[in-house]
Amino acid sequence: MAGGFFGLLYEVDLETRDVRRVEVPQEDFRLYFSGSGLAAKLLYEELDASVPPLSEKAPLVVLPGLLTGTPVPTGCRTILAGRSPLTEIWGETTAGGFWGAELRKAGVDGLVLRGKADRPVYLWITSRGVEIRDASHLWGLDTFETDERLRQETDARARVAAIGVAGERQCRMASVIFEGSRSRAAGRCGFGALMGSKNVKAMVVRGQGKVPVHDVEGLRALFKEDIPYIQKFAAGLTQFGTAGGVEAVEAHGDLPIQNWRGGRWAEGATAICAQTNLPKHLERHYACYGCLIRCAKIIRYPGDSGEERVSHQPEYETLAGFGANLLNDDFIAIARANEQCNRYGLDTISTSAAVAFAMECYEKGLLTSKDTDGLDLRWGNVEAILKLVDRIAYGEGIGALLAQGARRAAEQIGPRALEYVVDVKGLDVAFHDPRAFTSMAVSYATAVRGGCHLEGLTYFLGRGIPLEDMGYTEPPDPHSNDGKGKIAFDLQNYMSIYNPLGLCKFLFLGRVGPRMIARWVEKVTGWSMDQEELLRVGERIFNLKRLYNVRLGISRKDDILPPRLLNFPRPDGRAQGVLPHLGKMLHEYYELRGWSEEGIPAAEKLRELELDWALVLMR
Amino acid sequence: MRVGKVRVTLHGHLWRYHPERIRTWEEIWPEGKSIASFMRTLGVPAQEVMLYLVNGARKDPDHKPSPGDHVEVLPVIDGG
Repeated sequence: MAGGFFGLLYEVDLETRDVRRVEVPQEDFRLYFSGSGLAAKLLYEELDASVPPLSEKAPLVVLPGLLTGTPVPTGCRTILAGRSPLTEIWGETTAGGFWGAELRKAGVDGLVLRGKADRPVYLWITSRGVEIRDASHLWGLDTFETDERLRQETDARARVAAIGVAGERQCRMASVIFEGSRSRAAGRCGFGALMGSKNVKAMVVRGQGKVPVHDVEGLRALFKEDIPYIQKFAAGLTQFGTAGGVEAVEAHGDLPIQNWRGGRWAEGATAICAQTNLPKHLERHYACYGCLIRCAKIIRYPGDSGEERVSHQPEYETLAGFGANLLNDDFIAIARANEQCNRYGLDTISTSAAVAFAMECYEKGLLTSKDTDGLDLRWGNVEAILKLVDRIAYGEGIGALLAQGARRAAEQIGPRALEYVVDVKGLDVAFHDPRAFTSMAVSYATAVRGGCHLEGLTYFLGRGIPLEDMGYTEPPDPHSNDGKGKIAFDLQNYMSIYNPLGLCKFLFLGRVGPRMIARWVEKVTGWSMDQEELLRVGERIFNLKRLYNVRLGISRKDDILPPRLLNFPRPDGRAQGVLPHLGKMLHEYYELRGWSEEGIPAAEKLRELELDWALVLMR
Repeated sequence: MRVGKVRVTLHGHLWRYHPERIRTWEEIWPEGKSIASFMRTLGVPAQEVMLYLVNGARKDPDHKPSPGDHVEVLPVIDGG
């Protein structure tokens, strides 16, 4: 018997309050796994380009991965997918924690939410099914309070995924926060707004069963070697978390500084990194379900009234966004901004990018203190940063403008403001610089959801992490333009299996390649699986999501970087003077992908990937 | 044995391995000593080093700098 899935989704109609059990054939799991792969299949089939992302008709798919809830290392992740409220193209966002495993242990593979409830509700999901409950008393609470209240109301061991005030207000940068103060954030693409538009405050789950595994003993036998191997290579992440990388990132010229204008910030990086701060503030380490790396850190730090606060250590991306990119070297202020964002349910990447954008507009005179209601948006002004986050969450004054994201704000401020927006396809670029590792230029330009670092993670190779299964044993030249299309092609195909399987991409830092993952999939499912087949699934899913975007008007014209990253060299530091030759990389990339010069997947390629059915819907 | 001054910079978190915790200094460098050997003396773990630069050009760990050179050591990035 095949393991790894139940073949069952709950389809929740929030308007009629009907909950339907939908069977999913085994063949779909085989071709797309689960998570963002199966979500791509479901969403592509029903895509109607005329339905806006925040329409009542827009579906929200919630799917843990195929290995989520199994004993496979890091098999914890949950994927939310749909049309992104921020970018209006394909959107997916993921979170770790325990929620996904809990859902699968309730005997179901995922949820599809449709329609809009007539008042605030939350979903209570157990092995008995889905109950739609009133959440009027929770509307307006932050995600930490919501988590506590809902565990009191349901089951102390339940897991909660909730939106905060930002999602309620349909801020397009709104996140979904899993498990309250432990803050596993499904941050990107604005799915908190989609939940908010449906009047869904939270999804609460308690599962007490097991995810079926084909060969448990065989799987455990593999772990005897695999787990020590991963732990050995991921030791740095275990010690400091992602925040341990800030100084090294800066050294490679990879850290965004002052809205991506600076070149060096070594002393600042030292001031905000985990090596400096964690020894003073560490409360405890935290691991997601099935994780042997334990990269998450809970810290104690002083609040603005001197009270002691316990919250999550800012991740690297948050330190870069609220730190270096704003010229803010105050770690405590970044920790506060991080907690604010998590409580309000705001993506720390897009929110800090919006603040950086506003600060540059302020510096250049496109925004004045009159526009900001007196907020002095000078670089590094901690008080102004924290107040601006409040205003974004509540949509007050300048915050209402920025809450729709930097690009929409720039379109209202005026054409010159667009110079200071650093996004791809409307998604603010994550904080790794394609001028430091040029493979990221083509990786960002072609990432399905826009300025996403995770779809290719090609900078991992550039920073010295090998991927031996795929022939990458030595770091490529970080600054050349040769062979970068091939790197993006290979790594996007590989990384495209992570969200469908529900695995954490930090396995890559643990030197895990597709060969090891294919063996895990074999043992869990009972299917025959090798590296080649695994990568083929990745390539299939990547192309299907590209097709989704093509139907929304995306083509080569959109596979571009913002001027700040394409035309402006960093003034000093390791990446001084480097500019990526994107056109050259794209040419190589499209050829490998089997896409036309316009960036459209060719029919022959789609047939090869068993996507003939998708081709029919293209017409 | 001939000696000469070599400028050394430990980038990223690697400066923390210097006993006086400094990033850049002038080192009296014994002739014939390789960069890797010097880093071992400092206690910089080889697995935390991504590359060595001498006067801006990439060099192997067994490269032996000359007086007046600038040796830079860049780390592997673990987090981020």
